[in-house]
Amino acid sequence: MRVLLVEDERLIADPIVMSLEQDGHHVDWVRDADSAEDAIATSKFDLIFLDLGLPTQDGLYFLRKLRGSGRNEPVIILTAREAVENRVEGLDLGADDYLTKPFDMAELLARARAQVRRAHGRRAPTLTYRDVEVDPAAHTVMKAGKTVDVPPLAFQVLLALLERRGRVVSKDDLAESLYGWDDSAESNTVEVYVSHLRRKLGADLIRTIRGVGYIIDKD
Amino acid sequence: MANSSIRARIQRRLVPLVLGSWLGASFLVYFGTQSELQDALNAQKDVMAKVIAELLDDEIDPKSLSEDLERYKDDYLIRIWNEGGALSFDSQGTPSEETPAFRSASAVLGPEWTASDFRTTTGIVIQIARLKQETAELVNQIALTSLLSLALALLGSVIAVLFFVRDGLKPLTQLSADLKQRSVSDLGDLAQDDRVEELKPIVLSLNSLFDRIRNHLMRERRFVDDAAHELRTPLSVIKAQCQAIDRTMLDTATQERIDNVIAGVDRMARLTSRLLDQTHAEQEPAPFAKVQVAPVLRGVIADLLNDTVHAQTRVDLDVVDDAIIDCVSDDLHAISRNLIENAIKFSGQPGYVSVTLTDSALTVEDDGKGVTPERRVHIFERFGRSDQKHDGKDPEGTGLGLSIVKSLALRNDFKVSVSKAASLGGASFRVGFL
Repeated sequence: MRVLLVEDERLIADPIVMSLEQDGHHVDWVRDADSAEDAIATSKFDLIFLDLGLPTQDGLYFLRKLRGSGRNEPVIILTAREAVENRVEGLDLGADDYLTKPFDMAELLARARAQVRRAHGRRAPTLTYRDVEVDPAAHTVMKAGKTVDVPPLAFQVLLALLERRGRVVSKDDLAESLYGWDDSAESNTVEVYVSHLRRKLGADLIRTIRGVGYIIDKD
Repeated sequence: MANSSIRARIQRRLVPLVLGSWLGASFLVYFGTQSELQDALNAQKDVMAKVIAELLDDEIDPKSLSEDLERYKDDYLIRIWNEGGALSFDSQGTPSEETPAFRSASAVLGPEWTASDFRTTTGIVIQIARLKQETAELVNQIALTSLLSLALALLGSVIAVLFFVRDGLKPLTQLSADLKQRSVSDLGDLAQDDRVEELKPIVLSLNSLFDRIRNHLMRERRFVDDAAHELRTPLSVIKAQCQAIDRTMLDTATQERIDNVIAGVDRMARLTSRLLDQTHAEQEPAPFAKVQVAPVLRGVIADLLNDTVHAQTRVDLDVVDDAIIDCVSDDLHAISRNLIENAIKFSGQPGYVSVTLTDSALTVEDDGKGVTPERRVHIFERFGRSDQKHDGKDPEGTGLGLSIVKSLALRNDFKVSVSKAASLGGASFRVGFL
């Protein structure tokens, strides 16, 4: 899928471009808001990574213009500002997610996949962990080559954990990943799906961080 | 009235007072002296009348005397000697048979008398004497009256001056009280309009000083804020570059080096967060809002555990009550992040941290060596770092964490305390929400 990266710092942009391309995306990289406007005027993107501290016009200006013109591409903001108020401002303007610098590359890739899956699930790549194989597009789970029946919401939880493999995902973030599937999902709903997944796929697949969330270990 | 000058305030009170007491004292002295003198002169007049009546072989009707003559009878003496030198009249009694020969008044009377002899042209001697004591008494009376009046006026003036000076200086004491009750961080302008004239320039200068300090602090905070944010860009560069390296191409030793670089970057990033917390703690707090605490804690713990250096530590969250409290969301986030990160840093090896949330408090306990009672007093001071070694897990604390926690807690009306963790044996930090 096609990703637009708006980032003025070459030394940050370069590894992002490389990692996203390794993950199977095509990346267009621009360095300022004007070039970004030109890019979206001529092409359609599946996802936009937007740095807020851009030269001349800041990123929020571009975001406002983008949403103002009726474009609804998913936007993930990259910023050095971490205060909640900054985050809220970005999200209010129509951003879909938020990453604070210095970010974790795995986290960036996971968020990218999640956004794309949310927008249109078809093109996301298959994820494998040990003997478990998950196809986001087909919504199928295989264990040791056999198809396992997993309900849609449990499937979303499994995807969210697999995409962030090696990282602790809080119950709130998991509930958030159910957004669009079950808008009323709360952190304790997640526990139900996790126990379901354990029953079907093995008790040691998902590790509990008591009270906090869950993790699928790197290996 | 309130904003005239201190000089006018004092003048307005002191001038009438001084004039009043001067008038009062003069009045007392004048009338006191007059009455004393009148008494003495009246007595003289009466004695004179009585003598003349006796010379006429008559007597004064007591009713027509203005003074009690008996009282003054012995104070005055009039004697008349005839041409032969014999005493023919004595105001203090009839002349005796053996009339003494004339002797000058000063010789016949004692030194207590003031006497004068008057000789007529025919040789008669008229001797008039007055007791010295009478004069002394008169002077004493007059002096006493004057001194008493002056003393009263003086006493009144002293008391009034003390009172009026205090009252007149009230604007000054008010200003000093205003300054005293300001908190250290309060650099707002002092009220100017209701100040007296002398204080206006002082208040104006103070306000301009406050203004400059305020600007200076703001510039300094903005600098730290900008610096902390600017640092994140090069940190992002290092981390992103390291993580873009294809690990499958590296041997184990090189992979380890790369992980160490990333751990260093993460530590530096935490330091910038700490600096930002510090500048935020010194800024005006954002408005309070209802905050659900548990998701904040889950987010903080997940973030911390995702740092490679913390991955080995076990952190449990026990949500007894799903508390919703009134506070600044960012402050709560910073407080819990600092406390939990500290607990992870100072926990044992591999380390266990227990976080408990109830309606009334957040408790963070670890299984490390704890904080000695002597150090508990200083631990919340800036750079009041723990002196214990923490098993090499992120050895460089910034020494700012707990002082930030303290100041953030203060403005959210939280109460932070430290004690020994009963079950785990390490430190127990408690944030009371009430």
